[in-house]
Amino acid sequence: MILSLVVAVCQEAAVSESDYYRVDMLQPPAGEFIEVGGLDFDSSGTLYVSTRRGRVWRVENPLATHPAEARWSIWAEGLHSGLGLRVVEDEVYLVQRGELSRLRDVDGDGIVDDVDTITQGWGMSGNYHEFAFGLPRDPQGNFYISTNVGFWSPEWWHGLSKVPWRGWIIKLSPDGEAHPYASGVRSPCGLGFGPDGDLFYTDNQGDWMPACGVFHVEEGDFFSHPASLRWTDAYGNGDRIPSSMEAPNAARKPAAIWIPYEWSRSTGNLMMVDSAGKFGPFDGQMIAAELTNGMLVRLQMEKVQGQWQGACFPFRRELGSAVRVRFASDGTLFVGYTNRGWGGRAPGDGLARVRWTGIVPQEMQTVHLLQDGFEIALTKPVAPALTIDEVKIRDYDYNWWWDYGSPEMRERSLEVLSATLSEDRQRLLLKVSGLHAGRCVRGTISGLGLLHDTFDYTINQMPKGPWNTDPVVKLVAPPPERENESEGWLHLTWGDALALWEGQGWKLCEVRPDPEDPKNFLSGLGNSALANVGPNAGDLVSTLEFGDIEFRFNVQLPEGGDSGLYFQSRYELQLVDDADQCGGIWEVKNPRVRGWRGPHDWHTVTGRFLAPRFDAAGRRTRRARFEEIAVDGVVVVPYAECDGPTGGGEEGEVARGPLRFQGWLSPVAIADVRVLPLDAKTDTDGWQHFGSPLLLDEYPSQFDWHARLRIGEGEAGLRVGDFSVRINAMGPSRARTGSVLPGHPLGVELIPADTWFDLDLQRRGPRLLVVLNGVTIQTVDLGSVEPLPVVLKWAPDTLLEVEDARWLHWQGQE
Amino acid sequence: MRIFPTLLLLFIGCSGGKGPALPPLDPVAQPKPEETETSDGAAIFRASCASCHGEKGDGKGILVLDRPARSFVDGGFSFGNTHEAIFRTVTRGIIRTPMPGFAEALSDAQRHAVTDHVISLSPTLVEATAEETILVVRDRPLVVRGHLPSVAEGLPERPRGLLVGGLDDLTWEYRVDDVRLLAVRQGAFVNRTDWGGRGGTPLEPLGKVIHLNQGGDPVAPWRVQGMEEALIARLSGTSIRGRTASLRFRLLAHSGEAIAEVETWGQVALTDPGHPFRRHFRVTDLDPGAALLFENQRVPKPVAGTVEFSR
Repeated sequence: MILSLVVAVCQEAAVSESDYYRVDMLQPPAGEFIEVGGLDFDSSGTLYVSTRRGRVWRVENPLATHPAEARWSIWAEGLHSGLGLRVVEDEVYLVQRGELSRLRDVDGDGIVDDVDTITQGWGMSGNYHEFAFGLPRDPQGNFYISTNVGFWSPEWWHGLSKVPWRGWIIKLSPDGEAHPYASGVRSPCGLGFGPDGDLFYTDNQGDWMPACGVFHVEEGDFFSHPASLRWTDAYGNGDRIPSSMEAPNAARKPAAIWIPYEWSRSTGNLMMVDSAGKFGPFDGQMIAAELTNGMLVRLQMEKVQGQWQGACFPFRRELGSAVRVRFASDGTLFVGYTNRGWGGRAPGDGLARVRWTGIVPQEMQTVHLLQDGFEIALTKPVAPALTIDEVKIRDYDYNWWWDYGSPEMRERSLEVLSATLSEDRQRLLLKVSGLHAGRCVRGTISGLGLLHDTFDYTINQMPKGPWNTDPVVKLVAPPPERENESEGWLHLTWGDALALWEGQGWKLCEVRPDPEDPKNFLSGLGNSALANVGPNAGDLVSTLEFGDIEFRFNVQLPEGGDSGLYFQSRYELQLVDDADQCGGIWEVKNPRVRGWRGPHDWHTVTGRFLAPRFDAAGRRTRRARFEEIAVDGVVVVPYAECDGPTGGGEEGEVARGPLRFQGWLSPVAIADVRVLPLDAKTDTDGWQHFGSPLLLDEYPSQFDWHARLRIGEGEAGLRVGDFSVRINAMGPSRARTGSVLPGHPLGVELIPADTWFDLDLQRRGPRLLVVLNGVTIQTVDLGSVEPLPVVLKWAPDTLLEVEDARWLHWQGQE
Repeated sequence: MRIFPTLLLLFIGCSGGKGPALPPLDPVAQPKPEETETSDGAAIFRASCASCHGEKGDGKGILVLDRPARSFVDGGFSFGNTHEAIFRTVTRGIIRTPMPGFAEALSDAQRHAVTDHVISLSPTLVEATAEETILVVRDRPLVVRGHLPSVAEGLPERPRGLLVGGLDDLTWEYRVDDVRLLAVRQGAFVNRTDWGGRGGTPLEPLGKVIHLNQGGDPVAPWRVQGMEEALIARLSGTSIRGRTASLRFRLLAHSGEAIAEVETWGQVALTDPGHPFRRHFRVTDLDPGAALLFENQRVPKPVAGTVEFSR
């Protein structure tokens, strides 16, 4: 009885990763957020840590037994982020967003004095997502960086290469020349040397990237994302933009390893294990950082028919938002965290150390592909026997398309013909039926007491036979073009989120639960939420007024939270942490079913509001009504009519009024508020249509002008006298569509790029009204009642389409 | 008649300044009296500030000025409302305004006391979480690289930008894809708004623009006489030496030929109220045969390959 208890305890202990790899966190100075972007050591063992905040920290004594004994100091600041750092002969090199730099402390006072620019050899359009990552260096002294494509609408993750070498791996020679080296990358957060001194990079799943992949980089390669091809001869070196929907006609180099989604959703950098056994039995393999799941992934590669491919395994979970890994000389793996704006497991910043305890875990050390199965080397002999039933093998592939990632496609179970342990019980031979190239194979081996019982092997080539040209990621018919979800909508909180709202105590921020008070939020720097976290918070009221609209917004409440959205500032849709009430109309109708799923999470609320109608005498002819109110897709109120304002609403009833979020009663956070106006004028009687969008030289001082427009790139403007009504596709001026310059800029991005919208100008003597999708956005005093020309102008390289251009000599009475 | 009041405190867009005292340009505060000094902030305010700002701090003092004095009661300090920001403005004044600096006229303790009193007159301060993103120039210049917002309406943003914050309260704003000075600002330094969310957003320079170089969108200023195309100014780096921060760049012909190396830095100028700052250049000739022009004026001939000049 006692013996079996001891065995049970040992077996229990053996399943914990921390028995083999222990983690502790270094402790930066109080109040400092270390958002790690790069790590490296100098010859004295001092660790340099670059951060997304544009600082480089020096950490002396980073290997101290007690983490508190490490000494932190800010060595450099004011840099433009730093997502890759390399120490070369005790000189620190950093890839900033816009340049490769050498940092020097000239006077030896512990603070950098000189930031030498080695090169700025890649473009920046200003898009927020144009990161630059690095920074491996080859024996010839060349550095390598990888550049993100920018993310643009219509989907926020839609990757475009607006300027040269976005979406490329770039080789930077010691003399500062930038050589575009390989293309087709999307969000290449990690770059490093692996087995045989070969260069690898990691990419993150998204459009044209079905999962997170690890790619072997050689000069001239094209990997997957088409945007970068714009800067190749085939596309006229910038003249033509590759389709973002149709697959390009370009040969792809397949990923050496595709990491399954459940293990990696945002891969960081990778690092070769070269620690002479000080990090356990995995020398010659690579460790990759994983942000979203907060773990490390082990990569084991082999060359098959001269091409890298191999297996990956979970390695160490429950770490935090790991983005950077770096080995110290004693085999300690330093792991840098950051998740700001990206989302990832807590902790989301800081620096951890992962150390091998000296106990060898029972793991699959390597998985070697055979023509008819796999030979699996184990890190140490296994005790139990194994039956075929304890081995499950399946294979699958992916789709290559513009949609965000790909599910595992065309999955099959493969028959395991035999599973044989070697005499020393340290090798397992699996005979598997139906293996072939262009597939990923997932194998699970239960019953051996493995710390991680699953591997995933990417087969680009079989060991024998003809060279396979069918990649794992299959070219398929593109998914049906999505209806542009932005068409006709006004995005009221994109860009400058508070520009069209007024309300004391509301801020653009990020919110998270207050661990000490679930009825509250903690707020921090960020842009994911508008929340009433400031003092004396009141209601948040839109400066625009609406009639009939379809609406959509996201909302988050703490425990017991109680808010509401008053349409036209009068009719309240209940937003409350109570599924029996949330989505109902206050005092009118409660939800018929429960849609609300609880506090401290984002929920999407959609529906239609139809304003009351009035006859010429001002008598109401129709009540205000709601239709199809849904919370997270569940229709909670199909229909409700309001016989007047609800409690807390403004008195009287009107045809148009603002939106008002209640903010005085409890904490509330909202995001991505959109409306689709349903009451735009469609009467075209008396209008004169243009044969082309070209405009008249002179309009009367009272006119209506209309066009349906779509702008994909660049900027345009309608000049009316001395003013310009801006039509903007996120150009560099950031005077968004609907701005009237000079004097009336709009920072809010009401109309995303590549989206058709209606622009109406209404001139009434000195006043000019700018109307987008039927909603009056601006009223500007032109300072003149004289007839004025309206002239359409656009910047070079602007992609502007115009339909239904017409005008009307307005002769009505206001 | 223009009034140059003495010992008055006028906030016309207050400065959240930086570093050691900037000698006031205009006007000059009287030296501190040697007799017993008061540390009563309200009393100092009545004696030194109220004539312009009013006893209640409502901006309704008895002196008639070219520009109205700041009402502290209404809040809204243009250059920061923290104790540190206001103290620095009290200390240094605001150049090109009637607001003098009181570094000489009041002791350190007195300036802190009157700062506290000014704050007490203003609306309650709200502590914003964003304050951690505001960089303050303290005992050495700061150089910040980042994405610059449009410096004036209708002008493009500069994704490759650079701000140099000096100890003299001035911020020099450059585009550095092709090095050109865009503007000079005075006051607080910069809010690193790119520390929020996913980042990648423009910085928020906090100083007030006191000089827009060629309207904020200058043409390339360097040329070689007889050569039609302007030279490209390729950034070589930035340096901080003592109290001075400089930019280094290399001038290249469009053929790629290197013409000269230039180092430039800016400083407040104390002698000419009409031109409150100077730009300094050190040019090292790489092509002695080329006659270099800066903003269409001939650069002085180098001696032993190097020449310095100011504008």
